[in-house]
Amino acid sequence: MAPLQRATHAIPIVFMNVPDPVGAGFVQSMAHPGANITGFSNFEYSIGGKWAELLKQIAPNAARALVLRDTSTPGGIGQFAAVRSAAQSFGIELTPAGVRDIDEIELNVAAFARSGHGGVIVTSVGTGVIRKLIINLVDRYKLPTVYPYPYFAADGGLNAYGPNASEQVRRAAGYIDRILRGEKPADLPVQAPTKYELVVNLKTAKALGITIPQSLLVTADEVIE
Amino acid sequence: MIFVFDSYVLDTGRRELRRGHTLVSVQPQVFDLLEYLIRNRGRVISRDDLLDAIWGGRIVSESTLATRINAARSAIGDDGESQRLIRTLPRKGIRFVGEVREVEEEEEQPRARRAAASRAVATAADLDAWDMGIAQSTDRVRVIGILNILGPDDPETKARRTVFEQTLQQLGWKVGRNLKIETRDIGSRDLDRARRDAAELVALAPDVLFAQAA
Repeated sequence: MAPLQRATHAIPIVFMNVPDPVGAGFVQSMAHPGANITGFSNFEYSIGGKWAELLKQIAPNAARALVLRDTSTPGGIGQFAAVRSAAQSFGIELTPAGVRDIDEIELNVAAFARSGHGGVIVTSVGTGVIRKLIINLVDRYKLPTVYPYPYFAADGGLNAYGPNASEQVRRAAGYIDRILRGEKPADLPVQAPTKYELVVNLKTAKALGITIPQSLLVTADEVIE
Repeated sequence: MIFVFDSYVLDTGRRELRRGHTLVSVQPQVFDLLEYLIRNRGRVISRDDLLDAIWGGRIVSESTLATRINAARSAIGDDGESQRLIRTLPRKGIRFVGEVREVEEEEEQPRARRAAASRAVATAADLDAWDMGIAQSTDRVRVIGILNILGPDDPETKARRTVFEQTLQQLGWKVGRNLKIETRDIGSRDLDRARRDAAELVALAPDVLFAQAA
């Protein structure tokens, strides 16, 4: 999103899956974007609390969590803050780790896995492109892990909670249609997701030797078997 | 033909060089030189090639040649020192080394064909409407530029593209009829790459851009 914003102030831009578009400076406010940019944000920061809660459900013994998060964007920082405040109430001690350098991720995961009773929370910023790498890595160390989007679970992630990307694309197409018919992005409010999905991958759970509690399975929107 | 390179568009049909939405003014000979270099970017262009192609075989002074090459470089934000886009190979000639994408003018051609067809069967009233530009505005092919962080081979990219096109189709837009979609699926977190792709998309002057974060 940032490279496009820098490249033009004239052509309308519709974004999707952007956390905190106000904090990032893409729009003036959610209700009144104000310039050539509008779109769909991916979550309220409070979802970070939900990720911590999910980790506690799939790994009740977890006392530590490695949090993969990006410190270079307001979205990444905000998501980590939300995870941290929730983790405290669950008695989980956090180890933050960056997502920019792949070698560093490998080293951090390996070091973290040396002590027991740990799990991983993967936040959304900067992780989509390297999701396969992250999934393979945490699986190698059999670490229970929570992911930020349903499509991570479709690719083998243990379980994910977040907005459905297809839904975001559909709604973005709706805005693009309205802009092509003459509406101005400045007048189209930024919208939050209407639907969050919990996806559990039982195939991965089995491979990792993790038992997913029945109480979680019944609330899942999708169970991959 | 439209050539897209760096943040520029060379439109040979309209004989225009554009940077984003801005027209860059170039002398006709300099335009010819740019077009010739870009069309023949696969090989080194010798001094004689240039004299043949641009000056019709006439002999011109070394300084005239150098001036035109410098003007061509400067028009596209290059210079003799960095030789980012036009490289001099000592004693051999010059070559355009920038990455070029050729864009077919399919948004232009169908419009022209439809215009011709509609003129053939047009009533006087239709022709009036056409002349007033009404027919043209409703017929125009709209262009969407997509910048996607995920890679072209990512199954998620393909899934999203399908949903995107289906939704637009339900809303009355169809690729190849009244819609054209230009995509850059980056597939890495390389910021320079993202900047380049963003600049390329903007240079195509689309009607709207779609930033697909991961």
